[in-house]
Amino acid sequence: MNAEAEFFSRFFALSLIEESFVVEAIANYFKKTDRLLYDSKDKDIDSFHLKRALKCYQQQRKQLNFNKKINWEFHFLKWENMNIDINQWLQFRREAREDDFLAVLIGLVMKINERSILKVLGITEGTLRQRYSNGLNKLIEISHASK
Amino acid sequence: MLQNEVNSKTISYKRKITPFVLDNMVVDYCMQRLDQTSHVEIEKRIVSDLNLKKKCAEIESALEFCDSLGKLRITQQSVGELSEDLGLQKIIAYYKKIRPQLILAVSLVGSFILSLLIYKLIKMFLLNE
Repeated sequence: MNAEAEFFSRFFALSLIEESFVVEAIANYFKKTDRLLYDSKDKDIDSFHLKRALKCYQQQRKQLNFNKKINWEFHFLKWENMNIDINQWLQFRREAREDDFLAVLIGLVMKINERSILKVLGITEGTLRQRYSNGLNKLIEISHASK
Repeated sequence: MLQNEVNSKTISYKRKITPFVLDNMVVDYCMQRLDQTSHVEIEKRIVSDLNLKKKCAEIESALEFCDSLGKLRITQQSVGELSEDLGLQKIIAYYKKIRPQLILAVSLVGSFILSLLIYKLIKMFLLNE
C-alpha cells in the first residue's frame, strides 16, 4: 500500500460513501491496474489512473441508492483530522447532479490536474467551470439550509 | 502523482458580461484563475455591489470546505487494515474462480468413495450368503 492507495481510498470513500462499495471499488481498482497500465498505449499515467478509478466508481455507483439512510461508518477508514461537518458532504452527495458532484470531487477536493480531468471526462474547460459553479452553488445552498 | 499544476491557466473574459457570465466569473475570481484585466473588472464590481461581495464570500467558504475535505488523511493503521481486507478479498475471489473445479473434484472423490462402499457392501453380502 502506498500514497496512491491512500489517495484512491479517499476518492472512493468520498464518492461511494458506503463501506462495502468502497472496499469493492478499491479491490477492483488494484486488481488489474499494474497489468493494464503495462498493456496500455496511453502514455499519460495520470489520465490512465483517473479513467480507471472512474470506471471502478461507475461499476459500484449503479448499485447505490443515496436516498436511503446513509451510514458513513468505516471500520477501516479513520480520518486523521476530522473537524469538518461531514453531513454537508453527504447531503451534497445525495442532492447534487452526478456531473457536478464528480467535478467538485475530482477537481476541487482531490485537486486532480485539470488537463487529465478534461481529457478523461471529454469535456471543454467551459463545461468544467460550469460544473464547478453549479456544485459550489449547491454546497452554498446546503450550508444555508443547515444553519 | 495526479495532483499538480492545478488551475495554473488563467482565464480571460472578452464577451459581454451577462448575469450568467458574471456567475462564472465570480467563481473564477474566487479560485484566482482570472487574467489581470478580468480580475480588475470583477473586483470593481465586487467593491460596488454588496450582493456580489456576499456571494464571493460564500463561494470562498465553499472552496475552503472542499480544501478541508481534500486534506483529510486516512491513518496508516487503517491503510494496513484495508490492505488485509484486500488480501482476504483476493483469496475469496480466487476461491470463487476455482469453485466449479473444486465442486467437480469433490463430487468425483465422493462418488468414488461411495461406489467403493457399495462394492464392499455387496461383496460382504455375497460372501455371507
